[in-house]
Amino acid sequence: MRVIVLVKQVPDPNLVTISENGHLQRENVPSMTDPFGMMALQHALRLKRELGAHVTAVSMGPMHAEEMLRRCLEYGADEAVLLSDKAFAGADTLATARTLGCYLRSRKFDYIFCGMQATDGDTAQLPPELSAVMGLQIYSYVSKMELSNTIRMTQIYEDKSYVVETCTPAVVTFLRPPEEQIPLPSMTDFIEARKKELTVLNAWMVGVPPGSMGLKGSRTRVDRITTVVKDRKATEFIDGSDSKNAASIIMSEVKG
Amino acid sequence: MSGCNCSGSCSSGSCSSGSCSSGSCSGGSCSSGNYDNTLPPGMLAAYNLDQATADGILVYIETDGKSLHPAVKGILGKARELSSGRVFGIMFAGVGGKLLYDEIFSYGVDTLYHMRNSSIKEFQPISYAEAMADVSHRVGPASILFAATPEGRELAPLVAARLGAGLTADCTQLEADGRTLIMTRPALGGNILATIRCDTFPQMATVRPGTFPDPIPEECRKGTSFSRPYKAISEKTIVSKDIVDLGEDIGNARVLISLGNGIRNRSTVDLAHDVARKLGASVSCTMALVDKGWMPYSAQVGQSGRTVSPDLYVAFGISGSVQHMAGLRAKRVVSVNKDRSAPLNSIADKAIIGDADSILRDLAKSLEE
Repeated sequence: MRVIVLVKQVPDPNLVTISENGHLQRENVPSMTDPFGMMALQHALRLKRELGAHVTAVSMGPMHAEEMLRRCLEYGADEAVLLSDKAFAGADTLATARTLGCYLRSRKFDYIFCGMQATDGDTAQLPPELSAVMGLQIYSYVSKMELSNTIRMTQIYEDKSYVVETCTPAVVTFLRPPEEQIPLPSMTDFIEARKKELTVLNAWMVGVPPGSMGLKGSRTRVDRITTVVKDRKATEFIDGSDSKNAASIIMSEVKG
Repeated sequence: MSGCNCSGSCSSGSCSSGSCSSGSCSGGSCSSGNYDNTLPPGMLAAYNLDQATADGILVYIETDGKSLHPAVKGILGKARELSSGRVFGIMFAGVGGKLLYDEIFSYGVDTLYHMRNSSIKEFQPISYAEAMADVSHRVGPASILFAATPEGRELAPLVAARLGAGLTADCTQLEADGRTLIMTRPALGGNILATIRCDTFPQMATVRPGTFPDPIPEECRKGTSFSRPYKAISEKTIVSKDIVDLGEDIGNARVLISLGNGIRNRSTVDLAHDVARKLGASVSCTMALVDKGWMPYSAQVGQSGRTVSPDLYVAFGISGSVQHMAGLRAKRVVSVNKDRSAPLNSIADKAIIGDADSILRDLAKSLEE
């Protein structure tokens, strides 16, 4: 069994600042691996441990995303691929889906695992768009994966939950991490990861048609970005060491 | 090109004006990225992609077969307000769907496509997406709107990719400039608002539930309905279906007692439920407690959970990650936390620096007296 995991590097949302003229200052902001993507990786590694699946981490982004993919290899992914090219920059979800689809068509796989959304844009649009571009089945919002003869997944849609018998190839998006946490990489894992293959591909090597990637392949345009000005009173800090007093403050709040 | 209204049978020769304009643009190097310049003229007519004629708004009407999803009503009202042309509705339902016609028309829908397939009983994203793309080709709307419910957020990108259309997720504001849709959505945990336009028709958007007020229904308003069969395509094999008990609906609660990772004892969770019952409040939580198995998923507030808008949000031991705060629209926030520098404290009206477990225990005691 072969599993592709889509991971993404996102700016640490707690550290992004907004300059005086309302622009986002992403430069020099430490980036982190998107936690939802990490969740998908953990599920894939579970398949590796229990069914011997081959796990490939794939990302599209700037060159420094290599570091994040190295981390995925340390956690136990077998192989990592980074699609990186200036021509990919400015892509909206459709252009990203087409670029990734273009590459993934050349790969053999059973599942493409993704997080339900990413924390920077939280559009949750890429996985369904990728499935439509590639003509794959899609299972969204998976909270649980049961492994027996077949793989069954529990999908949650608001107040409904479905248990589905999956067929392959398919795109799967996860809502929750697996119940059993994947252990942190050991020293041996770090050394092993150095030997694993990390491929970087540019637009030419992937063979993306020029009209379907980057800004040019995007169908949406950001007109402007406004900073949300939260005009609110300053927080009133109260010493809560006397918990009885604190409780009565809360009571008076509730009573309005 | 606008004179070419003939359907698929139209021979390319008769579309002389169309082939002429496409000839002037040398294939893929065309920079505008519009359909008119990249597609052969015959296809423009066959798929009704003529950019000059796209008009009206198509709304995906989510139902459970018996009633409309509450998030849809506001979107129908907004569509009526924005559209200078027609408002189209598309609904996937069985025979029971007929009972909803009057309600749907009363919210401003002119033409309703009632999609029927007796073998499909549950939401099947791929079949639905194919059917919607088909209807979109037929009516040629300027915009397509969905509620940003789990169903809508899965279906909309499938349709968008199928149509090669631009899609904006989770909008909180929609404006119209003629047929052009101007969409605004929060990003980066609500710190910024991005205003987005699509380059081509149809323009697509999902709208955050509860963004627009329910319209006042116009009784006895008439509309046209079409019953249309659709094909089942790569259906999912559903083994079983469950209705998850959402418990108390935290989305509508006036007062929320919310618990986070700072809660150390599991017994505190039961205590919080006691307190909430006595105060007429509901209990919500962060993702951390759901992962611990202390609280159900239905009570989770945040990006991957629910969006709540209570009058008062009392947070016990919640540090306030960006993901959590994305789901928080409270009028007033009281934060109880040991850590003075917790991010939630900075948005709270009152921050009580103290131990969450013991303060909650004292709150329970004071209610017993």
